[in-house]
Amino acid sequence: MGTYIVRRLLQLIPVFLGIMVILFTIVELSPGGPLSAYLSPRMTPALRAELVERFGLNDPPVTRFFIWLGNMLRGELGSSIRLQRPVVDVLAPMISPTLLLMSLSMVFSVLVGVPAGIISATKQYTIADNSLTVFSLIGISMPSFFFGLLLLRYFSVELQWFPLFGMRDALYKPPNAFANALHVLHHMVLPVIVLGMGGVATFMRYTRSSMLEVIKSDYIRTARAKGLTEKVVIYRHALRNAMIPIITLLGFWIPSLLSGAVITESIFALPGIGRTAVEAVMTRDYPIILSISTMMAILTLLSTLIADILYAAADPRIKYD
Amino acid sequence: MSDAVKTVEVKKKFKRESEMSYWGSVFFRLKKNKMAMVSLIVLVIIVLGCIFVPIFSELDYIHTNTDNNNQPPSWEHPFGTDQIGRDLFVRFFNGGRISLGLALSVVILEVVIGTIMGCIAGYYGKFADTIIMRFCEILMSFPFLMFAITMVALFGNSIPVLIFVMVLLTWPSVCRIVRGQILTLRELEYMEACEALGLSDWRRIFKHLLPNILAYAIVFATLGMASVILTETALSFLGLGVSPPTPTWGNLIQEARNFTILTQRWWYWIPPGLGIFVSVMCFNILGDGLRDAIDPKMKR
Repeated sequence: MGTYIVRRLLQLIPVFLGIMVILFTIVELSPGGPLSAYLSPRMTPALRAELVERFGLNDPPVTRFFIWLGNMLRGELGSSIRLQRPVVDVLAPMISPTLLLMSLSMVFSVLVGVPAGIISATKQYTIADNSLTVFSLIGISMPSFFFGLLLLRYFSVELQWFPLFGMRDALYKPPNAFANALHVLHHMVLPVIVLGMGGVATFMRYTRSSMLEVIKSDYIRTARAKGLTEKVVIYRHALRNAMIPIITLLGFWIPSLLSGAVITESIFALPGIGRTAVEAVMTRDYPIILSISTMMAILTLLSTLIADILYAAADPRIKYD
Repeated sequence: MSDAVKTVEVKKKFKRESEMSYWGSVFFRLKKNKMAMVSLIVLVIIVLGCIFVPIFSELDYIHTNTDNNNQPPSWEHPFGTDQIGRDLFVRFFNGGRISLGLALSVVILEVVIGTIMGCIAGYYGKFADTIIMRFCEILMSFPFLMFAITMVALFGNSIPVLIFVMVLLTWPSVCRIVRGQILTLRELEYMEACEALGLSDWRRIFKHLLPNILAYAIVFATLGMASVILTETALSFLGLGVSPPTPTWGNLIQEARNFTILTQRWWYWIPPGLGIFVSVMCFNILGDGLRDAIDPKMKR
């Protein structure tokens, strides 16, 4: 197992380098190149040459790539052009809202999607199964931004059950930590539903098909034949094997959550990484965009790695040599 | 007696299906799937609307009329008008044209590129296989939306850039599936026969391998339409896709980020939202239906 993890980690290195090469290349190829945010038409050639000199753009691209890569790996992400502050300082406070949103959505997706999938597999072709299947079809087809707007329109504007935007009210002073947590959670209800909806549908579909496959297998028939109750057969025997593909899906779902977070944070104006990325694009703030892209690429690679390791650990039938 | 009649009918049906061509029998099975047929009809209606409404309407999508702004739906303007008096019915169908047309071009390109690359990787193996699959792996490790956003930030938001980004990020998944298929097909006996006949590589790939993959490609393209529509509209919603005044379903909904429009003028954003939702759902149902019709064994 140890060697398997090490080998998978080593395999990540060329992929990571490839990602960085592509990111670097598209910045180089973009109109204006890495300088474009600083350039203005009134700039004198002398000033321009000075900028080129200051940013070290006279070096050959290969040298610059390795300098840039080294900086990124050491956490020297440069400074934001728009805010004139180090990228690390801009992004650091944005990480926790995004992580909170993503983890709550993941928990929501699993807690709703997996049981729904089990119900729909064990009661195949009943009304419950059919309506859950229709629901999951709606879940994967509904654009999240439209769903978010609909929820805002009815639950925040019409019924006023939930706040309209943000992580907390500007004027709210929580008396204690518990009230504070409750306040933030109240703000997170709609965003978590919007971001988690696709996950609920996907986890349900996977659980259902995986469960159906397992239920058909011989050992389940044996378990039934020796007189175990249906509950024990399903939850003790079938579920354990049916969960193996779901564990992998957990890892692969993280990248989709990242994409979803960009949209969800924009709808609900949550101060997170995704919204910062969109704002950075609007103002062509390259250092921020590149830092977020790199961060997300690393996170994606790590989550697929975790998925593979979990898969190998959960299923003893898999050989990892 | 009724049993006998039934047996005869069943026999007739089987005989008919076995006599059909491959695609004939696929369509025969698809026709029995009511949900898929309804989706197909709905999609045809939407597509016809997108083609003909802009042609036959007296108003175009940039015609403004400030005396007649912010009107709720009426006979004259079935989807109402916006704040500068543009007719939202016409804008809806123009938006559909862009959203669906863009999705179609992305899907065609991704399937063609993915299939060609998958064939090369699977058929020639070795060096070509390693290079292509590593490249796919790199592209697939990119967080989709973030990469799209980066590209749009660097190259500006225009339709060609959008198509390029989406094709670049989606062909690897087609490539993987095609490669897997080719790897299994390559080992079959009929490929040995090709070898014995001395057919050229080109002929083996295009005449003997591709037709076996076509069905998968079509299923993939149908389901791909759904996901590409969702991506394009999401980007346009964020203001990073097609830029106004050209309407798409995504940037028509974007209007609802204005609080007054969200709360008081539902006709701005509900129709495009439903347009996306309904067409994505129809493509999903149709794709599932096609998959079941093409390969009944795959049915879950």
